[in-house]
Amino acid sequence: MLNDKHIDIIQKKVDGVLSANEETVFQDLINASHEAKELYEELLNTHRALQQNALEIPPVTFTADVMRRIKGRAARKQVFTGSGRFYAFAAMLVLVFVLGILAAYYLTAPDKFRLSGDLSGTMARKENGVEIDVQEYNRNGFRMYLIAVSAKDSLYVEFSNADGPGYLNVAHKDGTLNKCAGNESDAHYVLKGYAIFTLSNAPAASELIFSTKDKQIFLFKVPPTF
Amino acid sequence: MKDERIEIEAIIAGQTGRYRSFVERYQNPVFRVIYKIVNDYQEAGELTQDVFVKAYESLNQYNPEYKFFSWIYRMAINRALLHLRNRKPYVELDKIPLRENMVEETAPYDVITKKSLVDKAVNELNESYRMVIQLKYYADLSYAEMAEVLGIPEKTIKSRLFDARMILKDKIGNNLKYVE
Repeated sequence: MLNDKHIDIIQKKVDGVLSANEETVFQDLINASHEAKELYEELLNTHRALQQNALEIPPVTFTADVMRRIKGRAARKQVFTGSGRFYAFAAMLVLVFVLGILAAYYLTAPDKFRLSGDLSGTMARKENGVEIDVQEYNRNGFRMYLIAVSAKDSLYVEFSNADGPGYLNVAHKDGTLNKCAGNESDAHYVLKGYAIFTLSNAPAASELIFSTKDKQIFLFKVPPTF
Repeated sequence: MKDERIEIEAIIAGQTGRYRSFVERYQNPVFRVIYKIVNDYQEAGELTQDVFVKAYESLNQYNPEYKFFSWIYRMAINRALLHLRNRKPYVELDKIPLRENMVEETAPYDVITKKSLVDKAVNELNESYRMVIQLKYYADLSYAEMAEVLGIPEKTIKSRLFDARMILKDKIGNNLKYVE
């Protein structure tokens, strides 16, 4: 039976921090105890898997960027004091004006989906605290829909289709996709907050219905008319 | 630690250039810890830089009784978690499966690799275990340094590290057969 002292010695061996005396104790221990030897090997394998995992992250060098940003901020602080303050304020007004124009341009086509591609149609719906934005893409001859939904309260999403398979997926914060529960012709999902759905190869007459507890908010029918 | 204290006093006094050595020394452990939380290389890089700039601006709040890394590590964890909370779901067009290459129902579309298996197992640990694993493997700290960063005795660090490894041993070991 291993005690705390044995476990400590085994763990220190795994971490490579044994003293010369402890090394002797360790060798005696694993020669005498099969349990100790097994535990050491298991811990060592786990340690190696974790070490390998950490090594797969390539090293970074941000020093120059960080120092540049720090010096830039220090310089800005100087500009915003004394006689430079007036000129800085005027320059800021011009900058805000230019940025405003640029923002207005880009905000007219919101990039909720963080992607570019063969966009062939968009539509939007806003009702009862629910906002739905749909984008249609054509990729390799397949039609797919990306549907960004924001709902203050619970929203029931139901996909139904009687003619062949279609696929309703929901995107997660790390960019991974999971199929919604159900089968190929009938899937559902309940959301609250923000979610993005993807609908791939839904056959004609497929329906995606968004409803609250007592009201249908939006019926998305394939193919949609944009 | 005494050296760090002198260095930081000099930086606060206006010798900005001396901050360079802190960035060089700690950028990789800070980056790795953030990367393991946000799981995005580019975002982790931006957040790491933000943390170092923010730390520089807050240097007068730093308590020199503790190691600089203890302070910036906390800042990094908080920044990464805040970023994660505010992150919205996103979709990359290439990752959307087409009909002909769909996998079976309800299966996640990620391919299981040894890396994803280890990442998942570490992320599923409770916070006290996850932190010692992060500090040990991604920040490369000794028992004593981990004890200082987390403000707990070295003995507790060793025992948490052992428990965490035992949990990971089961999770990783049992699933290695599914790995590509």
